[in-house]
Amino acid sequence: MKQLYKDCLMPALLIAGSLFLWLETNSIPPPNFEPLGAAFFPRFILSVIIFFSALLIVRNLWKAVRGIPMPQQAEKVEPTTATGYLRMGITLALLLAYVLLVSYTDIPFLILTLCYMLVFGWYLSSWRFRALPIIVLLAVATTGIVYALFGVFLGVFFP
Amino acid sequence: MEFLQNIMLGLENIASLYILCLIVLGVGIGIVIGAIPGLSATMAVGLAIPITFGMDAMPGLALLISLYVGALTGGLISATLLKIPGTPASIVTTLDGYPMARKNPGKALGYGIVASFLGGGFSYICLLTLAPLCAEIAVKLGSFELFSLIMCAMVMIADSTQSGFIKAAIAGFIGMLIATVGIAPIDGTTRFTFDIWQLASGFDQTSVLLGLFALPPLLEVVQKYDEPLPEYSLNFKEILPSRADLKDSAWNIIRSSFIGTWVGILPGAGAVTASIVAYNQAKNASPHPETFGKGDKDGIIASETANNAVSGGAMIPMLTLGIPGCPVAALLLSGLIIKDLQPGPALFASNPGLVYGFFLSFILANVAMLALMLILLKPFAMLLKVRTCYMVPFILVMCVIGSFVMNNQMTDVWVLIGFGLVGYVLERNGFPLSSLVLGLILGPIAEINLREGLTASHGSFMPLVTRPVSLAFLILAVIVFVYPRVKAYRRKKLAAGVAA
Repeated sequence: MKQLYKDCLMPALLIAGSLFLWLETNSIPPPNFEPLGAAFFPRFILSVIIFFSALLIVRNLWKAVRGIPMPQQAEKVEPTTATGYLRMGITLALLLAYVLLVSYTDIPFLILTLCYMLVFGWYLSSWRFRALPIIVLLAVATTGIVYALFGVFLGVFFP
Repeated sequence: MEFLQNIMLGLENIASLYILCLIVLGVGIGIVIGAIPGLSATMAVGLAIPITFGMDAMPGLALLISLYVGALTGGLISATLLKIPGTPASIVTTLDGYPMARKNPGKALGYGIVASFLGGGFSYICLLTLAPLCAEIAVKLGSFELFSLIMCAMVMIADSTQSGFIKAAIAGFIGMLIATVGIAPIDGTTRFTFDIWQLASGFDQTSVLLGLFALPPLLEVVQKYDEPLPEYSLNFKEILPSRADLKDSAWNIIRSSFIGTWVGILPGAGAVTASIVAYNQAKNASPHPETFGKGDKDGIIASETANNAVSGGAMIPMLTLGIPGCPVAALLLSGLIIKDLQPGPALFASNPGLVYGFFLSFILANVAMLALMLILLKPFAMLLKVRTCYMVPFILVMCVIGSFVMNNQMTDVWVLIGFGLVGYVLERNGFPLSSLVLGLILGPIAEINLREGLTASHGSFMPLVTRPVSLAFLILAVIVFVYPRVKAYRRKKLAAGVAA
């Protein structure tokens, strides 16, 4: 039952999202000088997505009712462990914090980059002091490369 | 005569020490990225696109090409020594590479390196000779023909992935939908911008591609970064295969090169499909199929020849029609567009020096790959011991800065993160990202051609089926979809009959 729920959730979300975007296409002005107009192509795509998503739900329900096992994916996706999710969550949180600080504060980009690499690198090494010299070296080198390549060579104004 | 003149123009374009150094550097970095499990050729090329901003077209493209060629081959190092494919293209190499490497690692890698070189070389020669002919044909295609061709390509893409037709088709159309955000072609109406002015020009393609192909694998790597790597030997005695070995496998190399190049031309099929098909063909043709999977040299040769041969094949539709055969071709397409070069038949006429320079860069990168792999094999193999956790922060920072420099705005960084999460969720649910990317690239081309065609036909869809070439593409799409299913149904029925 849990598997069936999982298999049907994604297509159901896709249908809901497609219906919302379909409604949004009503705000696109009608065509002036050509037969189709700008709304036709997105509507065509949305109808295909809705059709295939519905098909996926029907197929999954049919297989569940008849007790037919779902085909295995060619590239088997390994299940994520609780620790895996935690690591992923912390990685995303650190990335979001870094990008938010770059976007909304006046702290120089290069300093933030250096700090982000130090904190993230050290976290990934499980806070081991033995790994710190390499992490510091990598952080300084990366910041230097970013400055030289983008700031000097490409003349980019950092955020 | 014109062909030779164009080759000379191409040579003039790439014959500089600067470009040669870029090629060697690109191949070296590509090999390292390809060798590290979790990092792929797509990521290597995606990360390098912002760096090519400050370069002229030819050096920039040469760098991207060499990264691609290097990363494609680098995957075989970890596939052979660790049984962990560095890139998805090397999955099949693990079957025979690892068992052989346990006895003789140098020899196992040697077969892979030489096979990669020969497979790549064959496909680049095909690229050099076939692409101009295809461009001459492509120039004759009208709007309806191109629309039908793209629809046919979409069916092929969805049908060739291993996630199932429905999921791949949904992913492809999601890609097309993403491409509709922003100002519409033909009439300039804005769509799906939700009053966010930064979206008026649509999502930045490179940020989307970086998000889709860099973030999900990095998140996977982070989840299991402390898993210990298997031990492996660096005792490389004899690397190069003997002449007798190569003579013995000559037919296998030729067949696998053909398979790889042909699969590369088909949109969406990719290097994994090519290596699986070539491996199965080699096994079927072998007088000793029982040795496959236990360290047979022909297994390594078939897989590596085919997956490298894909690279040249995939460039043929990309350059002549603007239809990328694989995600890396989609990124190279972005690289060309950033340089104001629109791939298609017109590019061959307007800028032959650059097009032929592009071809020759592949050949030079292939030679550089062989030389670097043979000379620096041991240091490359030692790099496998570097923990991926040191690489992740570096790559994430490069992704952030890479997407920022596209338009000098932080919105693109948010696009990168957003699409990274979308990619992760879709991939976890079995929706192939390669289909999504190809939909993203093909969507705008399909829309422009359909709307242009319909304007010319006063709103009639009939030319789609009354024009012979357009009809042929649509029939081909139906055959591609129906034939494998009919075949599978017959086989099932036959098996049921035998069982009864």
